[in-house]
Amino acid sequence: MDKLILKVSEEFTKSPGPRYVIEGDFSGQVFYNTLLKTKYIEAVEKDCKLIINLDGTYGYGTSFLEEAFGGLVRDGFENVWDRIEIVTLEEDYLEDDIKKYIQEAEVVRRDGEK
Amino acid sequence: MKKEWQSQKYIKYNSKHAIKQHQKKIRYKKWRTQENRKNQGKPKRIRKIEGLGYSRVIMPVDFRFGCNTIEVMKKLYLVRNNHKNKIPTYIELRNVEKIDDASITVLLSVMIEFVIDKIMFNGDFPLNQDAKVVLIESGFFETLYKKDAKESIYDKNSDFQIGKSRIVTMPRKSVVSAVASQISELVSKKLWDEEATSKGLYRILIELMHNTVDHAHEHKKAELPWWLTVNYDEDLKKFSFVFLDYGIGIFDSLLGKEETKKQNFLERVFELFGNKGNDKLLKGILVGELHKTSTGKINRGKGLPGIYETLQRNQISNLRIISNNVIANVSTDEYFVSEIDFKGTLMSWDIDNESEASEWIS
Repeated sequence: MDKLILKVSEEFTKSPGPRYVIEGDFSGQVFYNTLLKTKYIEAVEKDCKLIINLDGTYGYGTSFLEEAFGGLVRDGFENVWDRIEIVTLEEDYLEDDIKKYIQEAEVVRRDGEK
Repeated sequence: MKKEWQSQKYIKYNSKHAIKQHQKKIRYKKWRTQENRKNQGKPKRIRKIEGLGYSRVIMPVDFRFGCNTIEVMKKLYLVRNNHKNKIPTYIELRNVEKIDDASITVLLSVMIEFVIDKIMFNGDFPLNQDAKVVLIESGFFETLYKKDAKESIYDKNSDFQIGKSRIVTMPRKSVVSAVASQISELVSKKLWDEEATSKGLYRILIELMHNTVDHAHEHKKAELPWWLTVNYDEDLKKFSFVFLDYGIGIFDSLLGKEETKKQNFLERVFELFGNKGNDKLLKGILVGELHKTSTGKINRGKGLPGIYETLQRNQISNLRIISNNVIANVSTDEYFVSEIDFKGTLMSWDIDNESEASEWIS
């Protein structure tokens, strides 16, 4: 399977910010709308993995990550965790965190559909 | 001339006038006697202060938020109350022998409001030289007496830097990731010999700013400022942080949320933590227990658990939280309910060269 790569620190910012654009700069909302969603759609069309490299930034707020990755689920994409691969040598716990955010978003979506 | 003075009209006027003056003199003497009785035993200094119309607030000898929390909160509550009622206030620090960053930050954040609202205030220095030096070197006065305080203090674009003073305090009204990254960089370069950075510090700063912007005001976002103080101890090679906002506090914010009202939040809380369990409630929030069971929106409310995780990973140490009526030393797992309600949230923590760090970003 081919791979697409998205490196946050090079393509977006080294200083990720809050959840929404109105709250401050470099928000998860902007990251999702300008980068992540586009790359994800491209990965789906090419039927390949989207590798998201989280290294090289100063760190991440939980809301930034949830807005970005939970956003994929909320926008209706299925099996998000299978499509992406998280690369993080600096903060290995982020992979579990993101998986949790995706799973929780899926629960919320399922509950909403009932 | 003599005829005029001896006229009936003048004599009548003069008699009336003399009686009025005499009555005035008696009233004044009575008032003066009462005032003298009230001021008996008071030093001239205090008579002068009160004579100018100030309400004195006497700070305790141990003016450290970390160690003497309740007493400091009581005094600061008085100052905030004076501000609310527009009462000129005299902050008496002369007896203070011990002082810490948290107290300075909280006092500064309150006094700034006096400046902005043009309410008269004054004060004195601690007689204890060590405490005086800490106060002066903190940058308290530079920030308080900054020209155009309102505009410059909340200036989104002004740069952060540690200047001559070891402590820098700045209020902001948004999540400023540039501030978080600047501080991270500064801390990293000072603390670790090899190139490393504290991801935990960055996360906690972002989470706290975010919490203030999102939740501090009951109804509107980004209405209230947050304050951050950074202090570097060269001898201990340790950074100490104090983060403060004067919002409605963690618990009042939680109770105010629409989703918690709908889901019989209080009933669930009492089920889990018993009645009046704000101390246990805070622990539940930090470990993520409460959120899962009570709100239903499981994709939200990750900020405080995120901060707790940085402590668990040893990325920060000595984490203390004061919010509403709860005082917590999270590091030592001590939580208790106080009689004073601190309207807002204050968090303090340390980072030293023993804290966990990640490889430096090049």
